[in-house]
Amino acid sequence: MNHDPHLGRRLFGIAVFLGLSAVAVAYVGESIVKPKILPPLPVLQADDKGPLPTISPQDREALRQDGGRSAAAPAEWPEGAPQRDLATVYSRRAYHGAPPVIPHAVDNALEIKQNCNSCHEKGGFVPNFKAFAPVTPHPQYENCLQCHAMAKSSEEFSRAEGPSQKNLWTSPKPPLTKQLGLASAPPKIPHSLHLRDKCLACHDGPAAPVEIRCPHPERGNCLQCHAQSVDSNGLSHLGRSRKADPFRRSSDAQGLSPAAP
Amino acid sequence: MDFNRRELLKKMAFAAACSAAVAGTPGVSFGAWQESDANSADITWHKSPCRFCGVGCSLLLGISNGRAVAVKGDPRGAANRGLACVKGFHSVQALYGSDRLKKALVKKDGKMVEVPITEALDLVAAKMKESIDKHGKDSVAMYTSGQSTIPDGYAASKFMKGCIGTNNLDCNARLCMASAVTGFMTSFGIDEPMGCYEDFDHADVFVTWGNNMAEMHPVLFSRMLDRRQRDKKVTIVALETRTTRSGVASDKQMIFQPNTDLAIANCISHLIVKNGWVDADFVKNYVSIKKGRTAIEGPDGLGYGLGEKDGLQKDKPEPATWEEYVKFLEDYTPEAVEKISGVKADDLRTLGALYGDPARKVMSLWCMGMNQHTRGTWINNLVYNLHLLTGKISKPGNSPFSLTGQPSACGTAREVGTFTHRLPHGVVSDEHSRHMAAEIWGVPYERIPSKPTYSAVPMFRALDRGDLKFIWIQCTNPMVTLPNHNRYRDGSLKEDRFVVVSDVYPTPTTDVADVILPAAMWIEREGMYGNSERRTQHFDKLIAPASEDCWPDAVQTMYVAKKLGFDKEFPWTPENYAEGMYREYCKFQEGALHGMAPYEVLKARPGVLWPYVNGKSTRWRFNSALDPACTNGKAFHFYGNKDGKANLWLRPYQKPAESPDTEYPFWLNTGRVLEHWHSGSMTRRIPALHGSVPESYCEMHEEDARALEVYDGDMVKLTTRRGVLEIPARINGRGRPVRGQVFVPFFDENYMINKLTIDAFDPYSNQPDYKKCAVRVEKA
Amino acid sequence: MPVCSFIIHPAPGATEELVSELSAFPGCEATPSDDLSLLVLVSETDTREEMEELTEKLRCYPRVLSLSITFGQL
Repeated sequence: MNHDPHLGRRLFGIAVFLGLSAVAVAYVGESIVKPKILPPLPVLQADDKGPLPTISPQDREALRQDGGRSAAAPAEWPEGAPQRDLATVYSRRAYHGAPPVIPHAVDNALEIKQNCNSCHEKGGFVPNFKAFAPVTPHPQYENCLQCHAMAKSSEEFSRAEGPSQKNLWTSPKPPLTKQLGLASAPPKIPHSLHLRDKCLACHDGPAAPVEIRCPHPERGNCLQCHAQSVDSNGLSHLGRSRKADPFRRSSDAQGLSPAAP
Repeated sequence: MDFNRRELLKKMAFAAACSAAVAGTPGVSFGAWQESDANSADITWHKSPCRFCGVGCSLLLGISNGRAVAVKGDPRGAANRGLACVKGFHSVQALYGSDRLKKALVKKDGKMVEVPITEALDLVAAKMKESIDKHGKDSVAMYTSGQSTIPDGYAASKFMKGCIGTNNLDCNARLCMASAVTGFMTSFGIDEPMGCYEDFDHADVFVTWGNNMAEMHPVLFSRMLDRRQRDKKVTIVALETRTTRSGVASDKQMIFQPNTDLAIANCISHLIVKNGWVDADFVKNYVSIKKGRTAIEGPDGLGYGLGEKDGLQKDKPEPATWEEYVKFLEDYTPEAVEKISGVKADDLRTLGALYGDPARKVMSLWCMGMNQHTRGTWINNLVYNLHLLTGKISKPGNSPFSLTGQPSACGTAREVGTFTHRLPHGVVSDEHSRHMAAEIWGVPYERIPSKPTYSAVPMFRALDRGDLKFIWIQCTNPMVTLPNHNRYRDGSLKEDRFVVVSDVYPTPTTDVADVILPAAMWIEREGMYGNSERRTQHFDKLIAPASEDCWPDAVQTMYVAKKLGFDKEFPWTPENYAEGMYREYCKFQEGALHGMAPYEVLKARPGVLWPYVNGKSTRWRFNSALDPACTNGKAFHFYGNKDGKANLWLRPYQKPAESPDTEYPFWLNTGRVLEHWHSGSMTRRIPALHGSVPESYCEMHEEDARALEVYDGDMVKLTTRRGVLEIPARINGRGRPVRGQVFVPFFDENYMINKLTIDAFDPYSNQPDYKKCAVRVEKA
Repeated sequence: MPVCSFIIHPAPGATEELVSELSAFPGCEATPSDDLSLLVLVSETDTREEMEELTEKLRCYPRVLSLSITFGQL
């Protein structure tokens, strides 16, 4: 069959068709298979300085034991709790990769103590907000408000006279989900891993956006199968200017042992 | 069609190989990969320092279709190691405010009219010439910025001092860093920290002196917290006048009364001496003891920069003996200082023990709290004393560290020297420095005047009086940031004054302008900044300016200089000025003391420390094991001073210019918040930042509020001897003053707190004290 | 028209030479990793035989320590 040029061309056609279909599914699937959009978390009024959301130790323990395994379909989904979706996630950010703003009221104690991790380190259901707290992928940082600004209501915006309502900034499109190197390959990671190297924080658990929940969270070593489309330190993005860097140490290639071909 | 298919296939093939290689081999990356990846958005990443504070985070900016669209921290950045703060992450949005100034505006019959920028600059040149012809060259002035790039500052210095021949050049860094400079100069004879940010990785004890780092230097603060997480013996002590996030996150918070830091520092010295914690060898070999002027009143009095005591004063240093010093410290027992400062005597002993313990490495950190101080030079000296007494200086982790507030307060204001008394190398009063400048600039030596003229506040006083007729303000917003601002606003509006403002957005300063020049901002042009740790960072022009008429400040200056006949001095074009000016500037700094990294090195790396000697940066100065500039054969060489020693100063505690009384019973303190940068002209146009802190407020203590029947959000009326302001109260917010004090952030031009602040300043640095004056608080 | 991609581990220090030499092969594009420790080669040949020939040539090429194919579209 190797010598049949027609067959070769046909096979090639099929292969391309398959390849393109995979890409098409990735694109079109976005719109067709999109889960139904639930209302996002309410943005609380700035005046609403209610008490910090609390969760009972029992509830917390139960959630921890569950470990979010039943994320996709919890046995009893708390009534009124929305499923987070990517649209909500992106609405909290200036661009993909920007630190999200805090959509809920921040009370006085939290504003000065920054004990955000009491909810966001492990996550869990927060009755006050009727929602699951998203889990931070970098709980080791303590100065939370350094990067996460408090979102105020639109009313608060208009009260303060400022030129800021108008900004001609445009956000880049977030990357497509399910980017594949090959038709059947595991999806690639379309973002830098810097500050986001705890994959399951965002890809597993009841607060994980439905589009990007991992179907096999029990497998610990994510990077074994999921390659990055950008490298973890973001350096691949530097482009040509970096290659021209005459001051970079050339790497020590001595230690490289050749793999069997 | 076939071609496209093949291209797609090849891209997929390439991506698959890269992906496999990256996954299989740690540390491998492909620069070309992103560009050829079929699926991802077309973003290229370029290095730049952050536009905002003096920490100097190295960022990677995502550029797509000619627009800046995303930000991430550069993992190679020495300051931030991949982190950034909320301002940095949203910084590129500051480029896209809808009201960017895109056309030059010139006042015609009382109305601002759009004109081409060349026409506006022609007018600027004509007005400048007219003023010089009529009133002499000292009737024109430039007021620039710690946010000016190195070329901007260099152009201004060469133009004013080398071409026009006047020292009427000062900058807003006078309001933020001048006392740090005089502190360095009086203690070490040479400016800028001896250590670098690597000290954070080595120190065991961090003491913040009136410095809310959690909000003002958040990335460094996180670095400190990170250290503590990994090493339990790390202790953070926060000395502050109100409770802040930094105090809450610290291990030990000590609240002191305003201005009493002078007494606290002397008390720690007292404890170090009394308990035998002095490093006697170090003091004997490397320290000389000095005393200076101390009288407040009288002909030789220091005063407070108010009234006739206008301008830069000189100290009269005299040698003092160890016995004198010990006797001087006797007044500062912990019990006595507890009475002055409010800090418990036991807490002071704890602090003394932390500084004194020879086994602990101590880093002291400060910024505006110590610098915006009518005795700012002194308190800088006194904190250096602690490190000199214990020999905890110029060694990794042992580091008194003066932080900066602006991205190039060090790089431009302090190093290029855009102050009235400075030249790019040395001071105007020094003959050798003037000769050097004249030679490098190719101008007659006689043209550079030897006497400093006006520092920032006196400059605007001169405009008010009419001694100055023309002022060109670049890259700063003095009509929000000057203290006692009513006086200077009225002055600049007077009949025969001509005010030129180069900026990127309309501000209260452009409101008083006769000519407004639209500027190219940050990455819309090439430039360099220098941060707190002596690190210079270069950025390329990454996007086109907001309009063709938006020119970099340096190019505007260059155009006017050429128009006035200084073509020879400015041989550069708008394309090559940054490189040309930087290379010429480097000639001033050659040598082991301050050598700058060559242009190519700056372009290639995220940032490079100076002194850059034989291809290597000096990380710790004055330590002969680590600094090639040390030449006297001893372990430490403080080469800034002729005797090779650092100065230990006898500086007493004195009261501030104004203290609360029955009429004005509260202290008023001002400052910044995390989300906003300076006068807010950029950050208030960034939705996330504005949304987080949409307006200014007056922080006050719960009990004070209760006594006034004021609830959170109610309006209060603040009155000082200089002005009145109604502003919402904030109770138990992110900052919590003690009873009898209020705090107001200054970013909001709708609540202009600087109408109320006092224009008293330090006699040596002329830096105003924004941190304390007396105020009356009433329910509005 | 087969399109293939390979990861090549070059001999220490030889990456840059290899990139220029291999890029000169007809239909080949070589890209080094940023630290020059390995390179990626994308090839496009007219027939499958040519592709096999190329693979063999690469395998035996001096200073190529290892060769792994990561993508093949025949």
